[in-house]
Amino acid sequence: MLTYQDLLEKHLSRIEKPGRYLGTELNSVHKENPLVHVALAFPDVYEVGMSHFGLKILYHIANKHPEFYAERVFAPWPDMEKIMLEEQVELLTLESSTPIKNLDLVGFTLQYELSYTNILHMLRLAGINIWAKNRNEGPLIIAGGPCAFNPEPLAPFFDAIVLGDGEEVFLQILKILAQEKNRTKRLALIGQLDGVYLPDQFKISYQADGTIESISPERKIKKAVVADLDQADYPEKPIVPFIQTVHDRVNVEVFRGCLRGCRFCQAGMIYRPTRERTDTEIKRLILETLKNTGYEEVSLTSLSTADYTKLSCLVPDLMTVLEPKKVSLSLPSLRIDSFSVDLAKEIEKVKKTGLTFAPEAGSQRMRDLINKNVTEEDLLKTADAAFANGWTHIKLYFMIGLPTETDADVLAIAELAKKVREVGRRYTKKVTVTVSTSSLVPKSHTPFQWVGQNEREELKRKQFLIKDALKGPGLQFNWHNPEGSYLEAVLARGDRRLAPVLAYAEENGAYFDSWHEYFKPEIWAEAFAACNIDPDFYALRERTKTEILPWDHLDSGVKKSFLWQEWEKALSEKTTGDCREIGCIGCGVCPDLNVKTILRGERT
Amino acid sequence: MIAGLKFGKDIRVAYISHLDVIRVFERALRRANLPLSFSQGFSPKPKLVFAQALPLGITSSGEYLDIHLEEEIKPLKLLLKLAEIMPPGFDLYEVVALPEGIKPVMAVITHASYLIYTSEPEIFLHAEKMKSLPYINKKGGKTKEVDLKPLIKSIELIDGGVRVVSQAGSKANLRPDALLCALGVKKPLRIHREDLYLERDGQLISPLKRN
Ligand code: SF4
Repeated sequence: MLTYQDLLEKHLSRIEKPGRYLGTELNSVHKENPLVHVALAFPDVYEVGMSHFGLKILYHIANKHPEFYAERVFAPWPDMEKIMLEEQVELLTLESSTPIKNLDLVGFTLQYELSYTNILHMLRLAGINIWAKNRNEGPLIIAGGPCAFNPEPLAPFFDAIVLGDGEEVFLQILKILAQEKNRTKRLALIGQLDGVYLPDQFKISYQADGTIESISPERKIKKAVVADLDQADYPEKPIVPFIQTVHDRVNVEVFRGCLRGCRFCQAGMIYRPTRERTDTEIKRLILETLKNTGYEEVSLTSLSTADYTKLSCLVPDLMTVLEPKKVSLSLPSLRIDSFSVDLAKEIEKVKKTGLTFAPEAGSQRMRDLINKNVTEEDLLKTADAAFANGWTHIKLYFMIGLPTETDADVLAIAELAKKVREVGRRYTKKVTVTVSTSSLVPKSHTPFQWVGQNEREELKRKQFLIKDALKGPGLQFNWHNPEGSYLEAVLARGDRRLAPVLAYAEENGAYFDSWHEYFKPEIWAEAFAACNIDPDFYALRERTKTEILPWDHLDSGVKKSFLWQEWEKALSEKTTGDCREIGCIGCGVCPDLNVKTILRGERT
Repeated sequence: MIAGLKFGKDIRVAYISHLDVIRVFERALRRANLPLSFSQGFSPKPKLVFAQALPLGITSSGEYLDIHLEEEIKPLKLLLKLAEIMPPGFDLYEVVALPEGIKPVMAVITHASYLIYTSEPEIFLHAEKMKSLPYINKKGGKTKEVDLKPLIKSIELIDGGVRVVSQAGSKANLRPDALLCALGVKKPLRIHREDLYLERDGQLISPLKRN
């Protein structure tokens, strides 16, 4: 049987990046005859998958036990995929080139909707039947990750789906696999764990107008949650890829869960509440990981790193140890305030790369509607601080297609960018302000779960408005194609009736949809037509308060009534504060899951 | 101090490109916590000089690297340290202390020997007797005919193939794939770079022996 190594040797000249398929990277794990053998599958190319921290956490959790072996598997890039089909090689794990159909379990991560067809394609390449009901042997196929909160379009493909923090559940699953060898019994035991959803146990019925009539039984699956991050397992010896990946550095998650309450943001709702690591633990993890990897960059990650309560002491403290080692520090997300500029100054003593801020909307009305508690004055002051400190390039992220958005709201984006440019011109002539927009994709479990997405033509028109208004020196506009956002919107709030569409699209060549060079909207149009599904029903339709939503049985802990209340407040353009500052606002997650917000210092 | 290292790449890392090898060494040396010299500028990097990039898919037992260090360190100690921290697939043979100011290894290489495992050794041996070996070199849309023959120093039979000693380095360089293409042979089973040399007084000597 051929291994990846054999395929590389035989077809080297046809493979663009052989380094994707080696499996022998530093800190990769190799074991013989494990008791439980599983694969962690990331449905995208190696460089993307290896940048994902969740995968590294689970890899570490499994492999630290001698009797468990978790290997990696990625979606083979089309060059390798073609060779594997020619050579009739079924999808293999990376480390030991074991066919994944021979394993105990394959766990996929659901990071973004446009990777769904890759999952089906990987199963097909592996010789595994994509439909769960047709599998009575072979590995259990499970999933987790943010999109697991509405996995309904994928429900018929998975045996089990994990909601919420995976660290503890994954270990329990491995233990069950070690004790029980019968496939059906295994699944039944796994189904009893906290946070595990067995789609097959739920039946959905529909009404004549296409909406859901009932989900039965009426029980809810609650997400799994790690109470204290300091106690959670962290991979201090992560794999160091040979080839350059998207994020190739030490990542330490300084906290999980954000409570700012931006109304479009799914991550901000499903990962509540905020649980901070202690600064001493963060520093220890960084130094330990540097020793084990030799990385030249460290990133402090979270949904909003500037909110970490001990950041103002942690950053200078880290700089004193990192600078002599010539290791750089990066903060992926900056808040719109001068504190963030000070931090950026601290970590970029010499090099001044562009600073990125996300006001998300151009007009105050829209920012209030999405609950982005930022004013124009905040942004201009922050920009002033940045230019005063020598930055010349500022990037601004916005969303278009927000509920009730008018042309005036859209044009306000361009006006805001121009005002930032004017601020910059007080300091230097060579100011650049880059505006990037994305289209709102309403997501499940958010206050916007009821709203319709703007039509694609409308999104294009709004982009043209901005483009025309942004002409002039020092202004740049990054355009995006709403076609992909539309498909995301269909799948993000889809139900089980979309499963045949996914299967059809995959069979007809949809693969790597998130890569614009491979994304083929025409395949999807054909798939919807063939399955007699109207995609607008999912993407564009506004839902009513009483409608049963496809994910109503999947519980993030945040109450549906709270989300509705937030939606109503959005429409009346009222903001909601952060419960870390104003006290509990009753989202429901803490009492429901018996957890609490953990802060390690004072809010600034 | 400059530490001259001789290392090899076995099949496990033969598919890692030159740029990736540079990163592997940079990170390994950082893990080893050695007193590295860093380049100046916005993103300082350890000062490393490689003799010559090894084409993808080729194994080697003769690669060279100059490591610039801020402090003296015993060559043997450095070798043991590297053996401890390099990922599997890299063979580490020898470290010597080279004086500051010595010519960088990349500037001194003149020859390379390749072991080409092939079922058609006679074609290679025949080539040695030919007057010229034309090859069409395609570079950036332009094509140019070059003669590879002067680049070949010797070809001899070995068990399972041939040993080709050729010119290498910045002045004149024979790429193994160019040779295979010019000869029109089948894809060999494996190519192995046996060593790199510099020529002094008509002799090929090890780059570690330069002074
Ligand atoms: S339950 Fe209250 S304290 Fe807990 S996250 Fe929700 S609003 Fe904040």
